[in-house]
Amino acid sequence: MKNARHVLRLAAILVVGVTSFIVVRRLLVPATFGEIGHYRAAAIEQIKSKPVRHAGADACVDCHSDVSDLKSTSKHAGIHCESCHGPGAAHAEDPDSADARPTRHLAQPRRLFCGACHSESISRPPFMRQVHLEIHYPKQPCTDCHQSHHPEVEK
Amino acid sequence: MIDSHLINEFYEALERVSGYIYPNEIELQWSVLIVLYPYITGLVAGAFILASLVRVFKVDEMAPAYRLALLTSLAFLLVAPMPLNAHLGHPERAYEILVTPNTNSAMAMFGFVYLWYLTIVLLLEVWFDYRKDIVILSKTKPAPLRWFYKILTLGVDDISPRALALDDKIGRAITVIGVPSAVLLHGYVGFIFGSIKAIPWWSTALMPIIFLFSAMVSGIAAVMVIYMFSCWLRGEQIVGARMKCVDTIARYLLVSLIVSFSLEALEMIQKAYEAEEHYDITVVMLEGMLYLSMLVVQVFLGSIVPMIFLGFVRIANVHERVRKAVYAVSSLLILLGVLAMRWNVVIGGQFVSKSFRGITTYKLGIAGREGLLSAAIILILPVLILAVLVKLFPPWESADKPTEATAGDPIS
Ligand code: HEC
Ligand code: HEC
Ligand code: HEC
Ligand code: HEC
Repeated sequence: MKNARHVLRLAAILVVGVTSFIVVRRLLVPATFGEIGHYRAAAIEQIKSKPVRHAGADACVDCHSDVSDLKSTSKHAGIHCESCHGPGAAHAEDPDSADARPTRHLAQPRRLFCGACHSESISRPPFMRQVHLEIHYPKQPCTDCHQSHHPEVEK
Repeated sequence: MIDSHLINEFYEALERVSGYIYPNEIELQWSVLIVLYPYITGLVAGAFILASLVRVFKVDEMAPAYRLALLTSLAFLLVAPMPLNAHLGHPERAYEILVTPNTNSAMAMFGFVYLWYLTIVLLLEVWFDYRKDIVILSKTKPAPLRWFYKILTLGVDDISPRALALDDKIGRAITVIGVPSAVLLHGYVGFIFGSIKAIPWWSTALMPIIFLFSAMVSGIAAVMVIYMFSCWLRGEQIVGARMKCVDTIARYLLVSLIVSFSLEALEMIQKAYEAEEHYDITVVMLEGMLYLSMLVVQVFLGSIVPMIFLGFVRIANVHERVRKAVYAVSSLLILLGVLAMRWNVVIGGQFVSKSFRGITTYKLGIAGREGLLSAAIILILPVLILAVLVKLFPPWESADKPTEATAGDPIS
């Protein structure tokens, strides 16, 4: 063991390394980790405390019954208001606040907005009617001919 | 309100798919960085296995490249987690994989596999191998550097023959542990890919073995290139012992290339013969988006050409200069071919939809966290690290005296 001093020092460093890992690990593992599953139990409370941004399907009906009546008889009946207008909880709380108002003129360019669901793609289910944006009356906003809340055209 | 940028992006993505795919398949989740990760760990494992041939299996002809192979392995290992961190984002949370690992997840074991390989295998092996040099350097180098080496000696400057013999013994023991560890490190990467059920292109039990052999191929080729390049840089002719060294490296390169190529061919032939439900779409992909990177680069340039080259110089008695040129060119081609292979596995695997009726594509950006630039940086970084390591720990001293302690026989 006379010529093994360096090996002993190395071993000591390894031992110190492993022990400090164990100690540091105790400090680093969050307090509520693993109580319920492989995550921080406190995360649930934390997420719950976040403000709600979506109001839900029924919240808009009271004040916008005209739109919702129109929509409920159309092919867009199954699409929730917030799918197109974005989160609206703040607006439903306080409809007069201009900041919280959902956009009327949706994301530009609007043709692409409708195209997100309607552009031609073989991977879509056929019940979602599809058009080629380059062929289907190009350059004109869809809403010139289709009422968003009742998009069917009378033939 | 809906973000117009998102809609634009979604719309662009839609244009890149063909056939029927599931919505979550539009965007490839594993980007070019995940191509680099198995490439880099492969180089680590391959270079280490080459080094261990000298150490454990006593292939003394390769002793001149032994230390360089070790340092190469170390340089690439230091960079190995970077593509993962860059891909996942939030490197500041990386420690969590060690602190709260999910023991049911093979991926979560990476931290431990990596730490084991880095600290217990490579760092220790390098340390024991270089201890004598470090002690000498700590006495001869000027001030600031001297302290660095002084710390590395751990305050013990005993380089008596008995101490060195002990170093050698421990070093060899570490290499013996190291070989299975290298196999573990890279076999593990293959295991991760092999166990992804959703992607038939990956999901085969051969995956770890295929990865392992391609790792050896790329690692050996990398050591060859780096060795030849560093000889050239230092103005040393590759003759005599050095020529013997590159000849031997080339021999192992050829053998592992043949095994690796056969395994990959076996897998493809089996897939073609089984012609399971996903095979038709695989053919579409092979004839289309993977034609260049797979058939041309990986199979032809990266495997068949080097195999013919290396095989030819083994049977035909050609001049040393021709041999050297062939070795250099073949190794570079192999390095490119293995990179293409990683690309074809990682990116190619994600092209095919689980519906087997559709294909998506991959758009590699230039800038950005997962773009071409960060990939290039991650590939160049190990070379820079290696340059620093070589400066700090010159691997040459014993290069011309293969009978030194580093090469095998302990001094007793
Ligand atoms: C409490 C009643 C109320 C509720 C609930 C409500 N709104 Fe409104 N909303 C209004 C009023 C009032 C206006 C008109 C403000 C104005 O024009 O100055 C308005 C305006 C709008 C506009 C903009 C119209 C324009 O011309 O710019 C949109 C879009 C809209 N609401 C969508 C929604 C959606 C979606 C919901 C459900 C998440 C909703 N609203 C819930 C009262 C309400
Ligand atoms: C398919 C997407 C879509 C859905 C679903 C949708 N809207 Fe709209 N909405 C629009 C677009 C687009 C406009 C702008 C129309 C225009 O500029 O011509 C609009 C305009 C409005 C306006 C402005 C006044 C008007 O009638 O033009 C209100 C209010 C409104 N929407 C409320 C609602 C409510 C409430 C719902 C749910 C019952 C709803 N929207 C569902 C797309 C949609
Ligand atoms: C969130 C996805 C979505 C968005 C956004 C959307 N639609 Fe639709 N749309 C649908 C679906 C789904 C149907 C078919 C429902 C059915 O037939 O059951 C439909 C039906 C239609 C139809 C009726 C086709 C027929 O059968 O006659 C038209 C026209 C239409 N949409 C136009 C538009 C326009 C214009 C816009 C942009 C303001 C738009 N849609 C935005 C999902 C969407
Ligand atoms: C110039 C008026 C006009 C414009 C602009 C227009 N459409 Fe139409 N659209 C029509 C008419 C008319 C029809 C029914 C006849 C037809 O199929 O061409 C129709 C039909 C459709 C259908 C049903 C197709 C089917 O297979 O049943 C969809 C979906 C549709 N349009 C979506 C859109 C979208 C999305 C836009 C915007 C990108 C748009 N339209 C712009 C006039 C228009």
